[in-house]
Amino acid sequence: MLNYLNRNFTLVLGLGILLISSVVWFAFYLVVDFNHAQALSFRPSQPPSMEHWLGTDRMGKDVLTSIVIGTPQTIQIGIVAGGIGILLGVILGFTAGFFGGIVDYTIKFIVDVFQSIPPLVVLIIFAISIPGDMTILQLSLIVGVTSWLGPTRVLRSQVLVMKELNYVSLSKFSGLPSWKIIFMEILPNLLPYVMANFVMAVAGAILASIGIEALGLGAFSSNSLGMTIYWNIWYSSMLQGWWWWWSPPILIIILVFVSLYLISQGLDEWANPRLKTKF
Amino acid sequence: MIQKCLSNSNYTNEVIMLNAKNLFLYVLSLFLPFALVAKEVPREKTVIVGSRGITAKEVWSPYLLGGNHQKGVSFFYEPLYFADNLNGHEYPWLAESHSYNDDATKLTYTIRKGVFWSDGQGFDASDVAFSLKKLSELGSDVRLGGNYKTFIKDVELLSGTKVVIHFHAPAPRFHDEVIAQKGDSGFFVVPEHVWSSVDWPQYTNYNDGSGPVTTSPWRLNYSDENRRVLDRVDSCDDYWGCKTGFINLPEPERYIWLRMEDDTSMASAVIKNEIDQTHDLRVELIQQAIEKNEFVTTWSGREKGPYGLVSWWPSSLYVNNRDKHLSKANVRWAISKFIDRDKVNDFAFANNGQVSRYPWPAFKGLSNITASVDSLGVNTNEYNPSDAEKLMTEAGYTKKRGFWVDASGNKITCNIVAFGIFSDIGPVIAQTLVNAGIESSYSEPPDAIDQLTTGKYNCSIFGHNGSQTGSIYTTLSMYTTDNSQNRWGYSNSAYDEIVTKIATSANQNEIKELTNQAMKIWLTDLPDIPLTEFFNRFAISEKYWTNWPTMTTDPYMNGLHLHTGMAYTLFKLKARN
Amino acid sequence: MNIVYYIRRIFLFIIVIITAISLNFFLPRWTGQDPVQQKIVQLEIESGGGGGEKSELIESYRKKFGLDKSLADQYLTYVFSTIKLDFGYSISLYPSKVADLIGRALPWTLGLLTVSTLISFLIGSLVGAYLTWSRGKIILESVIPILFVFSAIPFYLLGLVLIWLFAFELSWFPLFGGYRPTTIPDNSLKFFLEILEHSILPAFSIILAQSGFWALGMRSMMVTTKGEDYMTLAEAKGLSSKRIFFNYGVRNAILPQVTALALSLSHIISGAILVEIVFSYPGIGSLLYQGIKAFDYFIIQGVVFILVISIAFSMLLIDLIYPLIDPRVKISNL
Repeated sequence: MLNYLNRNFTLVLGLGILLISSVVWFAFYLVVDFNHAQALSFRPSQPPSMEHWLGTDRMGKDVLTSIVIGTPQTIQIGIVAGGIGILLGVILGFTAGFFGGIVDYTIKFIVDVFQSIPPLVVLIIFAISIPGDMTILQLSLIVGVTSWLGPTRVLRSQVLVMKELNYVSLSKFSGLPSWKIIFMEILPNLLPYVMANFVMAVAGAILASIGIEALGLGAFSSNSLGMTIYWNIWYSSMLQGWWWWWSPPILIIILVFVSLYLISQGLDEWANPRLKTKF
Repeated sequence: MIQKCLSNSNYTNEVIMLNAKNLFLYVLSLFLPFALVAKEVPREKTVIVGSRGITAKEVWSPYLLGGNHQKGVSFFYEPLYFADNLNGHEYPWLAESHSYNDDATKLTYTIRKGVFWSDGQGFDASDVAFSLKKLSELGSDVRLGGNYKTFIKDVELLSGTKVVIHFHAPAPRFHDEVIAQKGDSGFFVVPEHVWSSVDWPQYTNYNDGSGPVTTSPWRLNYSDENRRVLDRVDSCDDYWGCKTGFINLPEPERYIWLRMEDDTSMASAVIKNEIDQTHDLRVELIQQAIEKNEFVTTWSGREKGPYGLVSWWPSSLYVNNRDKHLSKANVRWAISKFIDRDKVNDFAFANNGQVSRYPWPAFKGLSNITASVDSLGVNTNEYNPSDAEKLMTEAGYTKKRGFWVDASGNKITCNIVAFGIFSDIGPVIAQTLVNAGIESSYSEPPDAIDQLTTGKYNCSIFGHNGSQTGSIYTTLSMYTTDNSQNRWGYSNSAYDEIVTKIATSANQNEIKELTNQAMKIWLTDLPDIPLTEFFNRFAISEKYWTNWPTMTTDPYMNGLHLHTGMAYTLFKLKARN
Repeated sequence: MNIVYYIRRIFLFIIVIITAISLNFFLPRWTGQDPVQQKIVQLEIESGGGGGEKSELIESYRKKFGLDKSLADQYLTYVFSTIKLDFGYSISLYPSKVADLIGRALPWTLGLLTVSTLISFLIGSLVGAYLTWSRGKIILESVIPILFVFSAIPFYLLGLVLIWLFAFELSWFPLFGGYRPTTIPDNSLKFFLEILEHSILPAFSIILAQSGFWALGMRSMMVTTKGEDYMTLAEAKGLSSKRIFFNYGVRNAILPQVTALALSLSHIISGAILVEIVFSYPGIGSLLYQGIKAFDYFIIQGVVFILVISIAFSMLLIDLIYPLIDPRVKISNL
């Protein structure tokens, strides 16, 4: 495994960034006082100082604490939503690809129909339809509901390719039940693809959730990165010159996306060595 | 050269792209709406205001269902009187004077002579009488019509210059509250010869772009959802005021209302002098604008706060009186005493706010009443957590794990739903309550208003659409049982009785006495919790226009462009240089 | 050419439309909120429209918008009028008709979006292809990570940063809107140039954010293509580098890219909506946002419908044209 990692630089880089960031984040997580991320804790809009390494925001929260608490919330949305997306994608994609025929036709049809509808719009309509305040969990579910399209399509074509391979046809002859073939022959071989898609689904989910939150339709009481960006926009923090409040979320988002992308590229390479690139 | 370019496939694509883009943009420009009159007016002769809120382009009547009289509409309907309640100014305009009879059942207006409409027809008291009479017949069928139907029994035209309004019952506040054009309300006179043949609730007065027939010196040039352009008449003879020597034409030749939803763009625009006045902005944005642009000023000038003027809409924490816990007066008082309003002011407004004690604004015309209620000696702004805790215990609550619970272990919740303009104060209040042991949160769900009107909310922050001058009857009536504005679900029959008596009384002393009695009950019950005055804080750029009404120069009128006094302000503005 | 394929595609298109209409209709109503009530109170807050009874106003409104009929009734009316492209009156902007509002906003979005997407697609693909082709030029190689970082930032955040930097701090570009505040739209060249000036920043943020994506996609396509046998043959034949690059490399690699374009259309539109909001650009995105904030069913429905139908139509077009461009894909049953 380690041997392989040596050769797949992209994957290493991606995982590396993620690992280092997580360690740093965890260190802070252990140290900060959660109460500092509540509004009214301090004087608002203070620049960075010894007490507040990233200053305070307009509502009186310590920015560092807010970011440390909010980042996992955003990541959580990504993972839950991405997970739902991938789960549905695996189930539907594999079923469609493997069984073919009318099942395949139906699933493909449904995917094609929903492909035309902009996901943001669906998200918005769902978001405004929820009466009262939204929770992080609700947000994750909504985003998850719109993230299964891509994975289904991709995994389905992958399964189609695999179906033609000899060892699969052989297992069919051998009389193994279908689900066993799926889980024991196909899935293990497609694992890198599934993982790559999962990673991209997480990235997509985070993007979508930030979009919704930035529009003011998210979970108001949370500290997630999207909500922080929303408050930044609302309070014109760029115009006010509060750089310590608007740069951390953007930087973290970039970091997260870059590492996720690298990981998924690396996984793609692992699955299809022909794609190998030299950095 | 061209030969070489064309034959080289590298360049062909780019050339095609460029041409395609140009072609596209040209075709695009064909779809855009045309101007009625493409008159060039220089920037120095134009007044531009930026504003939030969107209105359909055809809305040019204040009576239209779903209409709106802000955004330039009120310019076309000159009032009988301009008024400014903050400082108690009144400027007779289309009317010269007015008087009540002894028992306030008759109100007579003397109309000015020499006024004429933009289509050449003369204006006189019959237009006023017609408008009043029609409104009293239509009532709530049209926007703003309710009050006329309720109060007016009959309208009598005495002569070309005198109109007498007969009321069902004494209505001493009718002139101040309904007729005088102030802030966000007023009486909009319409030409009889046009409006007698139209359907009032549907008539937009857009007239396919030519705009309303008006007595004012303004004409409609262009209107869509994002901007409205009004042009001034060119010659003095086209406006009655100038022709009769009453007042000169306004100096601005064009007035543009721009829609700007985003605070940041609005602030940036005023910093760059692209607009002359903004809509409400937050304190720190205004401070930033002052810092970055020497021409920017506010109602309170450049040096210090509050940077705005008190509006007629004081905010309070709305608690749903139907809620299990919040229905107890003790609990409500406790909540009030848990809130440190100075700290709120500090946090939310950087100390540029003003706390409010009562659900009516700190206007000059109400100062007597405020003083008289003050004499009852109840301080609604008191911050006294130990008192508050005592009240809670008396009401049967104990503190468990940091939160107040009743005998069955239920927590008190006060989750606040509100919208946009309260987002500086909302989270602060929510946090204060949490710190005090009441479960709370702040959010801005899209159905906040719905929740508020249907009574499904827990807590909210909102204003009071009540009295502005003279008496606080309107405010008091909001708290009577079954009043459509009673969103708190508050009900107290003794209170209701007293308020009904005030409605029919014409005796000033009696009214004062009854008011105090009603307020005594109100103060004991505290159906909602007063927080702060609502300020209209806006920034003005003086690069092109001076003599704006401000506290530091001459506060002759409420200076916000949304309010009906803006038409008056335009007469007073002077061009720089 | 397989007729069945074409018929199937068109049939799919119709189903998409019907599904969109239905979803569009039912989702907002699912919550049971009352937009008329909301609007009346909103008006009261904004404009201080006198006290007194609101219930009559509310009733007449409901009748006007047909909200007093049964759900099934409303649905059928909705389906039929939508097909006629009559989206009814807007509640929040009464008495404007939704179709008018959309008609005025659509050209802006079409212009901005089409142009920037095409530009970023072309730039991105060409850059991505070129980078794979000529290895070793370090300066060019470093372009990839930069483009890549940009594509990791959501469009709208990028837009915000651009506004702040170029429009506010440096004042090179206008702050907001489609054209200057004091200008009245007409048919002049001057106005046209103003439009151009105002569209540069929004276009730029879309292009910056998207190019990276296309470049990277193209890059992987080119890598695959480069390994193909016919490429080796072409080189052996002695064809010029440039010719091989364009006629053999790009031409083959671009085909899957076009498919990718079709598939990501809906995502591009989502991003564009947010860009419009950030730049206060008077297009469909801003109109939708306005409808959301005012909870105006009819605007939301109208805009969503137009969006879905445009995307579906574009996908249909691409699917129909694709077999013509790529002879390998004739009777695709994939």
